[in-house]
Amino acid sequence: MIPKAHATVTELALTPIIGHAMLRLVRLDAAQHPGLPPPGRAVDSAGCRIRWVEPGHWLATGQPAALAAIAVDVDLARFDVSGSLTGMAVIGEGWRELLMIGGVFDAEARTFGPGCIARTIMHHTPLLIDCIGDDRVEAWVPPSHAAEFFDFWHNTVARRGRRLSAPLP
Amino acid sequence: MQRYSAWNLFKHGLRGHKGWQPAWRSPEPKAHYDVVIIGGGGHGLATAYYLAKRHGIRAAVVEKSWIGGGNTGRNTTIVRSNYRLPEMQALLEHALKLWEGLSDELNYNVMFSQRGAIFLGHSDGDMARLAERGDALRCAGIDAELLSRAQVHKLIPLLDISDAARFPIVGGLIQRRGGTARHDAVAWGYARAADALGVDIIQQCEVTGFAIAGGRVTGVETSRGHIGAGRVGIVVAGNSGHVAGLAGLRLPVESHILQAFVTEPVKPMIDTVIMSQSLHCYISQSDKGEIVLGGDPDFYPSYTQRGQPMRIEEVAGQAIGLVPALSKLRMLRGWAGTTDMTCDGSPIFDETPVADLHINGGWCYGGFKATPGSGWLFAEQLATGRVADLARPFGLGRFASGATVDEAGSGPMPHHR
Amino acid sequence: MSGYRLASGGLVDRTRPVAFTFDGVSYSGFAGDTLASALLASGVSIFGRSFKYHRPRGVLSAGVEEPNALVTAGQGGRAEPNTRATDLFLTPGLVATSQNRWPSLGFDLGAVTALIAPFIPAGFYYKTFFGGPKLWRFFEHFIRRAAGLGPAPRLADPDSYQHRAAFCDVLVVGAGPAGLAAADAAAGAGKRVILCEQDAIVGGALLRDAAEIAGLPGRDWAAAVCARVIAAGGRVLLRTTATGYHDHDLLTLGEKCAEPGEDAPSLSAQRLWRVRASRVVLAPGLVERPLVCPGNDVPGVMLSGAVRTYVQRFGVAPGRRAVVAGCSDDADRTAAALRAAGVEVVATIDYRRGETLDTVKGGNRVSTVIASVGGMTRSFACDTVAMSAGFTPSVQLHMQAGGTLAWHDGCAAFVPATSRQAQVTAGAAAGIEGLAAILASGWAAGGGDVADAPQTRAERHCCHGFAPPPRGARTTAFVDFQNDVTSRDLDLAWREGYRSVEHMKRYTTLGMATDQGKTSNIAGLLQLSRNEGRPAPDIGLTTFRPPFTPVTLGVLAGEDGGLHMAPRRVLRLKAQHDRHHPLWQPLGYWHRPRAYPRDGETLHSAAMREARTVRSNVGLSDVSTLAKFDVQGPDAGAFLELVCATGIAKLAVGRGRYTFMLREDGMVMDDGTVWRLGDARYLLTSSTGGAARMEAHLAYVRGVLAPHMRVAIVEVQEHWAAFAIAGPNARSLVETLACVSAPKHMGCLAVVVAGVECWLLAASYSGERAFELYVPGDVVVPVWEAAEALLHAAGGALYGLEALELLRIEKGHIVIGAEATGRTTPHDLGLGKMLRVSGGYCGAAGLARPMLQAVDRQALVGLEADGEIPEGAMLVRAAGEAPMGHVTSVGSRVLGQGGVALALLAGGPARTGEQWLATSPTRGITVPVRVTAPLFHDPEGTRYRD
Repeated sequence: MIPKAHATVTELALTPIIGHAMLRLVRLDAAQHPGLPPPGRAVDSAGCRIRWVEPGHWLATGQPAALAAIAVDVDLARFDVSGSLTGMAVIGEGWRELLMIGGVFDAEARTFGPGCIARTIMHHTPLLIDCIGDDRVEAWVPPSHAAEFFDFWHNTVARRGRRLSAPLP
Repeated sequence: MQRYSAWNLFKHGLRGHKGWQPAWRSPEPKAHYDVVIIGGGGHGLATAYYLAKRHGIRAAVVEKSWIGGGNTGRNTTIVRSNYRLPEMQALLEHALKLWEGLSDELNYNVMFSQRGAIFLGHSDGDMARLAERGDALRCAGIDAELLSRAQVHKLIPLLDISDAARFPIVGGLIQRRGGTARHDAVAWGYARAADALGVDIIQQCEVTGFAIAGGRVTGVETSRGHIGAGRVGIVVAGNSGHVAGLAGLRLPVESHILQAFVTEPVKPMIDTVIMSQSLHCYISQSDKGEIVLGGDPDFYPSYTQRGQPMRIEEVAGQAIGLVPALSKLRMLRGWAGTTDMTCDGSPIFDETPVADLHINGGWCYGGFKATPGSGWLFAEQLATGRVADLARPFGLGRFASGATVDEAGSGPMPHHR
Repeated sequence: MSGYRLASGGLVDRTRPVAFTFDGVSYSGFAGDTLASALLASGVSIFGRSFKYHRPRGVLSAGVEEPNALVTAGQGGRAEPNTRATDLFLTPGLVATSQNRWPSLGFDLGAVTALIAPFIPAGFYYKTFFGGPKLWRFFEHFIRRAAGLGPAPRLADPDSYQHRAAFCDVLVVGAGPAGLAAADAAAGAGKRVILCEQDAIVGGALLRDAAEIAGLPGRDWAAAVCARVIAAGGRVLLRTTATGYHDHDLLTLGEKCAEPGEDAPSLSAQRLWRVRASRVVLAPGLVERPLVCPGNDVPGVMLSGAVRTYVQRFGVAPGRRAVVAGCSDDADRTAAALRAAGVEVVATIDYRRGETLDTVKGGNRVSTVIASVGGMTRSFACDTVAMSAGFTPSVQLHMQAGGTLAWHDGCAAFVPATSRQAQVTAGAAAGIEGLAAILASGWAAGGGDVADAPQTRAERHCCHGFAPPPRGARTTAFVDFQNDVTSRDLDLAWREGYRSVEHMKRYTTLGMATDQGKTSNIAGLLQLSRNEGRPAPDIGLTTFRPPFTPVTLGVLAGEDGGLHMAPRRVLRLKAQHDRHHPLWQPLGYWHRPRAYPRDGETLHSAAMREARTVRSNVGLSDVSTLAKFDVQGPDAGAFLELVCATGIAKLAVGRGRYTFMLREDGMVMDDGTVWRLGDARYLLTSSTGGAARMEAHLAYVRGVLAPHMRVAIVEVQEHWAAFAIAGPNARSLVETLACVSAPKHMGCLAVVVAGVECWLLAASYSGERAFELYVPGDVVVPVWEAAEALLHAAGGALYGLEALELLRIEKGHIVIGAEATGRTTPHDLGLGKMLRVSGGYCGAAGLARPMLQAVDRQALVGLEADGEIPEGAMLVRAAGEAPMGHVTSVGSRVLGQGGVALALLAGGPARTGEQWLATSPTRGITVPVRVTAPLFHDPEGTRYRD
């Protein structure tokens, strides 16, 4: 019997995310931007989701009109990057387990939860993880890597029924 | 020096081998030597040997730990001279010719095995680069042969030559005179031969400072006291920056980590040395049956002689991609050396700004193959006070003048190599 | 006489028999047996042959320290050589094969080496085999065949492997009493706990010696602890060895999900855990030491604790008449266990009473023991010897973590002293004796209050002791069993001056076998200590490094190796290209169309057709992989003037130019274009192959050289798909496509195509009138298809990398990696006139170095010949002379005949008109060539300029 703490990847659904425009906001110098999420966090705001991705860089997704409405700030540069990332939604509680396989960061920590962002490398691929809810994360990778990377995840999920931690002796 | 030979081995065997004498003495340091060599690795011991043999100078070798314990005991034992640039070709070919007679010269079997060193090409572009290298070598009188995929496969039957491989093999370039040697034996062989010629090998003797008067070095301060010297040669590989620093010098080198590892031994499966034009991993099999593997450095400066596991994992992944049968072999032992990286990837032979204080270093991760030649040339430098002809392109001043010898073409940053 | 299964007892499941074969013979064991225990139970005595002398060997131990009983587990691509029979649990249908013997284990011709043993001591090969490299190759052939243990694998491995990360507050290594207590305490305190154990069941020493803990039988207590750990959200990992303790408390654990040789295709066969722990409790226990005496390797001689393990855990008696020789209470326990199992204990030899075991006699099996007992030399007939020279704490992981050691006189071994990372050693491995103390130390290490530690009423059982090395080294007194290193070899090494512990190890190969010296390091050290006349702690040990026990390359690679050793990056337009069946060319991690051959065309003829179509009509090419950077901000122009060595800031909005970037040493690093899309916005493009390098360089310039600038840089390589439309009819195609007047040469314009906002850049790489269309990658398909439709209507053609090469070579455009070798300055490449006079760009200082201005440097030229010029060939004035340059890129005249090439040649353009030879000894070709300007088509540029 595997307790809930180690929900497996057997019941995950992987669904492509389509139809979002993407904007990258980059500060021009060391100025602070209190309206934007702090390091490691994402917020939903006026039809957009805005994520911190690295110091001074934020990534916003949403419909073009909503993105255009994000307040223009003389200290922030705006870059259209809609073609830069391909997204996959991972639905199911086993997403934490999935991220540990071939991964290097602590997705099992409860402190990494809804509203948290992580950038990491997995299977030779730069990966952006956005935790939307307890049973949903969004994964973003460069499009050229997407086919091979999501194949890797499909294969991992497909190893159904395989216990990922040993039973009691 | 007791002669080593099959006959003597037999005779000694009849007496239970109780008659063998120490391969080298453990003398107390004298008060003064004409030449003091700092560094008891392969290069330092080779230098001492050739100083005695060719120049009649009986030097002292001071080694902070035990001889051959640095990079000489930590490399992947590959010997070859098939570099691209003429300065490096001349330097390494001189060394290769010394390798060919080394065991007999030292009367110590260093197990120099000319089993061939192959660079694999994975695209037409790779093959053009390999052909260019091969043509440059042949014009310089050094052996190089292009191989088709079928020829590569014949030499390395377990190589994955299918089109499904991640980087399919198109062909290769072989130096048949290249191969491997037993690294520890090189240090021990030079030590024994040098000792027999009167060289004092002083282990557990760390240099802690230099005696410098009027801009000229007059001796070394060590953990075993002061030793006077007419001339001093620093040949300490990854510790070059540190030791030169004791003389107030700032060398243009950075010390980095290079890992390597071996598997448990199996019966013969790989007969040549395998390297790749595109992948940074190299594979060979020792005479004991262990597969020897290495790859990229860890790419950050450190003296710790320990690297990160991710690099080992990366090399394992590449090796399996080239030779899939390696997968079930187990890593038995891993280690790391400290490589002194220069701004162009090529070594340094020069007198430092302190008169009579000479340096031989900066061999990056390619020092083992040069061992006999490095010793020969540095001996000439220490005997005459002038850098030898073959070593002249490798002066300290080349970085300021722009006359760098950049084999890889990747510039001054060690982590770009 | 040999081993047999006891009628009852042991932890094996007698209701579940398991069939397996060993060397083709069928056997049966029980679930829970190792291969070793099942074979012992079946009466097998000889398990393998030693490395050098091919002496018959039985099993020495019951654990991973086993040096003798190495087998190949499994068959075909799944066969795992050098598997310890003691570390291999039976699985149905297991096929195991012995190693290093021919023709069979029982009759091995290799045993003849034993006849010449006196003449081949340690290091003998350094003293002979002279006569030059060719002769050495001859001898080496035979040495290599004799060397190696397991058979060389030949087939690909069908198994898959996984990597898994895990984080925890407390990682406990070893599920013996100390480790279990530590995990219990930590879990009870609410910590995230991972407990790992290399065995298949928890318990450690409790599996060998029953004990009562906290009122429960030991094994039940262990199970309860595990349940508590799991209930608290922790993990218990079995068949999982901590193989490496790395920096910052990162440990790698190797898990066997399937046993070696087990057919489990739907599983990952092995898993590598990467665990980052806040604290690590090391409870790896002890490894017993063999006695060093002549004949200590005869089959039937085993470690005393292992004998007890076979009896108590596996229900196997190793023989019928045993001699027990040891130096602590532990040996007494073995004698008691044997008697209880009905095995006759012929004698007990106790080193504490000054008794010694002098010689073991026997060939394929122990027959007699000669010992000094009660002041007399006596002889005992027996078939089994249970020996112990003491116990060595396992300190490898502690040392890997950078910890120091201290000598423990009682153990005659090292124990952990200071820790540098977050490790603490608990239990027997810390030199602690007695179950109560061991439990308390584990409990405390796990963070528990000592008052709450689990209690036991077991008697204090002392296992500290040691048997000194024998006087008078003998040839059959083995120290390192696997590598056949005897005590006489160690004396020889010392006599010859190999006196540091590292020299002794490397000269004799002591400790370099697959057991990594677990049973031999201390014995070697004690003998060296006696020879040196210095205490063992002064001499020290060799450095322990990962792995603690060997781990397969397959699991190290995980799913990121082999076919997946590098990512495959796929073009957005791959499906569109595939419709035309291109030849794909690898370029780093990408594949790009090299050419689109039609009906029977070769690569060259397809490329010539495509290039000709570009020169005479119009062509379309996918250049999406180019590196691209969007640079914005008031200081964007100034920033780019740091990065690029040409003028930038004077570009008007809507204009672009060719540019190149230098490394800090002044060499050309990359080239590309820059376009001013707005007042404070530029688009920088550079080579595909240099994309990662350029991104890092820009970050370096931004963060280190220009932190004060108000600029933002975002790499947009994949945001913008891009294609080139080139040829005399390119302008009309583009104007139809974008419904706009095409910009002039080097102009740029925002356009809309198929409803998509794009940038149209007028730039020519091919030398014809040309444009590049930059389209957002997520919506590129309809735009490409619209362009393709117009292309076909115009009778144009898709063109690939090969045609691109032919076109650019005719125009003398350099390529990074070919002409720009990393050793070429802008002057060398004919770009000197474009250098920005005001300087201040990255690389300006390096470029000013004197030797970079020399006139005889190799510089860019063109070459022409009647036929093909070999790429990479050396340029010599006459046969036999030293090369003065080489051919960097080769092509053909697209609208004419003959071969053309670009080359680097000493003296460069000054040699225009000279005749040289392009010689390739490796390909057996020499071609006469004439030096020209590096420009073979439309020298005035009339075809694309306005």
